[in-house]
Amino acid sequence: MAKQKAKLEKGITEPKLKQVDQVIKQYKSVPGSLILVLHKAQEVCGYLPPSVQNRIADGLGVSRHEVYGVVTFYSLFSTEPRGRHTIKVCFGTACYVKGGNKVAAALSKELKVPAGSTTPDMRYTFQVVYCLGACGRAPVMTVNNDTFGMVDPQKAVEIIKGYK
Amino acid sequence: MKLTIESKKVEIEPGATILQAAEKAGVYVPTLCHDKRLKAYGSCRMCLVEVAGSRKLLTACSTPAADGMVVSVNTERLNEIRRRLLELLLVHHPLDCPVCDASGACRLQDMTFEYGVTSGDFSDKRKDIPVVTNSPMIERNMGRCIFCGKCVRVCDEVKGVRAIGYSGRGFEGSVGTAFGVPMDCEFCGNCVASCPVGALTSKPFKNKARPFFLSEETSVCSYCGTGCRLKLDYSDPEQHSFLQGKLWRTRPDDQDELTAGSFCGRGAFGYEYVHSADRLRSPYVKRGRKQEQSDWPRALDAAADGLREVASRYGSAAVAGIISSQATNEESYLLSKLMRVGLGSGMICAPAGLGELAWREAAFEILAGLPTAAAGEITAADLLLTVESDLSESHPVLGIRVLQAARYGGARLIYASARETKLSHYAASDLRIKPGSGAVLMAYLGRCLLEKVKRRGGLKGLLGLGEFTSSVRKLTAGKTARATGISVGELTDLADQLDAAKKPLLLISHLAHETQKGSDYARAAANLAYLLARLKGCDPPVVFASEFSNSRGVLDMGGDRSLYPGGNLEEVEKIWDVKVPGATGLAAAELLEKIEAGQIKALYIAGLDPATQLLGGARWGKALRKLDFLVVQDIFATEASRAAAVVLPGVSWAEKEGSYTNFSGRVGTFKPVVKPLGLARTEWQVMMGLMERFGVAANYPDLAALRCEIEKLLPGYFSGKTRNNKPGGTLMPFVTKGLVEKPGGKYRFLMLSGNSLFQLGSYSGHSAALSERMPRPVVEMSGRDAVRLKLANDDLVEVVSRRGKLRGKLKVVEGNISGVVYVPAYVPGAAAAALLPAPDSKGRAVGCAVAVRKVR
Repeated sequence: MAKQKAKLEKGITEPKLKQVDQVIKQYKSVPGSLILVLHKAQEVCGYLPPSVQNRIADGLGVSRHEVYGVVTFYSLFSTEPRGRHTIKVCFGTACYVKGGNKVAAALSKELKVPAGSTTPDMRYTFQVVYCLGACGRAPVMTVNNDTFGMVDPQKAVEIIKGYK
Repeated sequence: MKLTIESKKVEIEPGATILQAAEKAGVYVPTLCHDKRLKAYGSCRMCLVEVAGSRKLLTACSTPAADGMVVSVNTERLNEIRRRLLELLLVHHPLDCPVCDASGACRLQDMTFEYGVTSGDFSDKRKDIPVVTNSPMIERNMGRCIFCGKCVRVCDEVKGVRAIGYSGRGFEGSVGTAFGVPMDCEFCGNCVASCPVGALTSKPFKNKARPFFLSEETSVCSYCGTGCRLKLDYSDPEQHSFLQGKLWRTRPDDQDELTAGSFCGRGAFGYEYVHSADRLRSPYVKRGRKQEQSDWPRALDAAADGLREVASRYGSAAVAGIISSQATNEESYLLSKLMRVGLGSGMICAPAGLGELAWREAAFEILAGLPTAAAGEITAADLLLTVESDLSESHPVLGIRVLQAARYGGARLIYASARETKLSHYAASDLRIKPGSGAVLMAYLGRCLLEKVKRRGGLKGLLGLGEFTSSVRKLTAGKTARATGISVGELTDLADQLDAAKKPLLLISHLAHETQKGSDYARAAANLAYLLARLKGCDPPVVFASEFSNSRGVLDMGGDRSLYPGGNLEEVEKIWDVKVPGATGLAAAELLEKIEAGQIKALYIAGLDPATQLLGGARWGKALRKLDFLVVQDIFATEASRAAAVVLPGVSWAEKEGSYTNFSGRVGTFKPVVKPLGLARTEWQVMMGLMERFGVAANYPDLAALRCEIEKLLPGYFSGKTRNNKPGGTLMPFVTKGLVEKPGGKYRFLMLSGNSLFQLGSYSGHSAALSERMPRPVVEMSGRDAVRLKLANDDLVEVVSRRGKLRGKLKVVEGNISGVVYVPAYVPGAAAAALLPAPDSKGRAVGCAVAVRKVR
């Protein structure tokens, strides 16, 4: 078909889409592989904008609405571009009573963005999550794959400064 | 298996659920998310029951019943849980019942009342979510949603469309489309009909009526030949004097074995034509060159005088009648009698099924005794072969059965067509064949089966064997492969599968506008069905899906010149007490030629517009103006009515009593729910008025008396007794006939045309919702052709034939066969009929060569 060149979303490039196609091809015949494919696509693209979701849906032969449903259901999937570093502050019961909310407030003030958003310089994506599974060290925060326990507002601000 | 439910003993088949057992025992179990069409879901928890010996409470809808089970449904413990569940649902529910369309017919409301939930221990903010109105026909009010998931599951499991899904979770959860785009689906309305609350609502019904002021009547759909039962919701001024009598909406009938509670877009949103502003409200009589409003006595006198004058001047054979395949059985019978007895003319035809095309051939086979399988046999089949027929589009509710059989019933679906459609995606083999080659394909399969039947000695008593055998002798696999475009391997495989299947079923549509099908197509299908019957020892396994609501009934009633009600001329003469003029076949094409040649001078058209609904439409427009005298009975002004000397306004099916006969011979009756519009009168009363003027006895005080007379000729017709079940069968020699017009030169595409989901006949064009959905034709083209012509989706294109042109929006379908364009047949203002040639006398499919160009 005479394809009109679709406008690509921020940060999405043709080589990245090619990689996504590879993933789709690899898992096309594996039943129940949608979540796996979405994960891999997010690793490649950083997030899952409409073009990527639709590409996966059409490629796997799944309804676009179903893919959208899965993406919006799991908090691990993002439909917005993400910063280079992902900060997560735990709001689980233990962390919350130990002052997780104060940590979050301090970070929000430092980054000048509310929880659930990305800084305009695309350096940080700042999220609040519910239980990171390390309640014994509450309050807990993570940056990318690094975990930090027993943090306080000051420490937290210092920690993120180390991530350029 | 025996079990006890609420101290009632009940016996049930293994595999049944507790809920099914309770239904059988007559014990009510409350449910919100259960639907008998769907897989058990168990999300609402309302159907929790106690089973003796089980500590856990079990959901009746998803727990299999077991022998000796003792089940309690109405214990205080269970009812308390149900009250709590309802309380929780009501915490966030907007409670906007005063402005909700579902109020009065809402499961949540009913159960809240039933369980006496008047206050709750919980409180939180109520949902206040904007209503999503960006889709045609359907609105989504997610604040009201209780997440039973029925809409999403119906869309997937029943329709196979998956146009909506769940999104988000928790408080943010909703049902909708990806990224909130407008819904783009079949608009079958089943999601709206299945919603237990007012979360999904119909736009045409919005804020129009309160369900508790509506009356309900069981009726039958007026569109296609499936003959689904429908519930009509109407307001009745006799019950509520402050209401205006109107048909407000239609709903599927879940007690109808045929539909199991589903319907389609035409059934769901196609009722608005009843109250359309375009309806004819008064008779008109031409004076000089102008049509003037008239009253009934003058109009009927004018019609009778005009017809009589032509008959006396040129002979009765100069007067002819055409009857629509959406006319009721009773009207068809009366017109047949009026023409034959009153005017002494046998010139009558029912052309939606004519042309020397597939339907005529198939219909004659059916009337000669070929039984047509009922919808239930689709479900029972283990192999479904559909050849150049997409029932999911032309007959959507039969399409549902096909999909369900293929997806859940273990049937192999073999779909052979030039088009890629929804069925392609669910077919076990999806064979793309050249357009018009279905006949050859079936003839070849017949040839293969012939050998097998012969070996098993099953050919005894089959007539026409010799001629058939010699006609297919040279039809080798290689030759068939070349004709159809599929490989020899695929062909052999297909024949083997047919042989191996225990219950194969042929699914065939033969619509007047499916231009690639000629009489050879129907013959090949009937032959194959007869041979399969011999091979499997069953009735001929074939569904011939008829085009319109009464395509079959009109012919049963003698609506075609060579047919008589009941099929026996002597009987007819005895009952009518008159000599009936003998007749041979008169197809619409022949009628057209006779009008053009000046042999037919007067015409009575009952309920159709030849220019937009018949093959060779462009020629019809001119021919009608040649007539000395034209009477048109219709509910809308048409090109034909504008040329008429007398216009008689008819009524819609919602305003009259009558019956339609569906594809398998099931007769659906209906009663009026609203008064005729303006001065319009029911067709059968008008025909009786004319019969009186021609001195024909018409002593029918009511429709029951008329049906009584019909049943003398067709015993048991209205009470559902099987007819035409003559054993035997005759094989017809197979002769490929080809097309009247082949593509070539400037007109290099072959145009195929068929029924669409949203436009069928003339009614849909006057139903606002359907017309808004398909205001112009969607022109399908293959990916290869689109690239070559530099066309893309949504381009405005013009399709031009030697006779006419239409404009439509392009849809690129990658899998369609190259060299073909497909257009829906009945889009108002863009009738495919205007492009089509008229059939010839050889019974060839018409074909239609077209050029396609982009409109800039």
